[in-house]
Amino acid sequence: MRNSFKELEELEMQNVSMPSDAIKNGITSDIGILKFISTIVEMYFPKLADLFIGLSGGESTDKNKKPNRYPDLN
Amino acid sequence: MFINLLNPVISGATSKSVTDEEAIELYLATQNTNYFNILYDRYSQKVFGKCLSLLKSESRAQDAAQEIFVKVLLNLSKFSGKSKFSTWLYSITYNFCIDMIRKNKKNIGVLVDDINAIGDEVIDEVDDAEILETNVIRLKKVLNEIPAGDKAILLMKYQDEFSIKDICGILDKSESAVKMKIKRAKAKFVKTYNSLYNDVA
Repeated sequence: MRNSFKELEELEMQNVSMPSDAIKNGITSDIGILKFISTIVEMYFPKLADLFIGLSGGESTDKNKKPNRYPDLN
Repeated sequence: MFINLLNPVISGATSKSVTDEEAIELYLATQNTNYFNILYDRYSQKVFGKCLSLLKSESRAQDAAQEIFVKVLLNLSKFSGKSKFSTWLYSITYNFCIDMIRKNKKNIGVLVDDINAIGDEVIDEVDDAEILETNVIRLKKVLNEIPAGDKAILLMKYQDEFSIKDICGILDKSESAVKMKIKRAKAKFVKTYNSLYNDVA
């Protein structure tokens, strides 16, 4: 059986001028922005969480914090 | 060949020999965007063509295609491989375009199929051959006249040859609802055809 939908698709594909570079550049730019945001979140979120924990009276989980030299005195 | 695949610059011959699923696996394993570029080069024209056909505006189609590929790139890890990659990609394309039309136009009523509302409507069964053998130029004209939701479902069924199950997944509807929507879209197609050409499709 003939399928005019397939024929239409072929016809339309022949006429579609693909602005591939514009779309490709847009995708690269969008992904770049998302990666940047995720890096910022990844870098600062733990510190921000620590700050809130510290402010609310909890103990910071910061691994870079120097250990107490005289733990037995606390 | 494996060494060649891991090379950031993927040759044309290599990109042709890599299947969609392999390209996805390699992209997920290496995060090398060249593997995503293989998929992009394969499908971008079809995706853009579908967007253009549904949205009827080159700039909107371009925006849509860009967002669809960003969405696909971010969700590649969720692709389960149960269906073909192309089916998954086109389902995202149809959903995105339908959402875009919903947001931009006020014709929500014709897009959102309210199955309850058509319960009493008597719809004549239209033979597939009647639609499939329509003259291509007339087909294009009629598809542009009917509501975007009906056009989308006819394209899914006859152009992409999606199964009813696939369409159920895309539209998030039950099988009976999808069958009814197809029946309704076909009836609308024939009605529009007859009103345009005063003829029988």
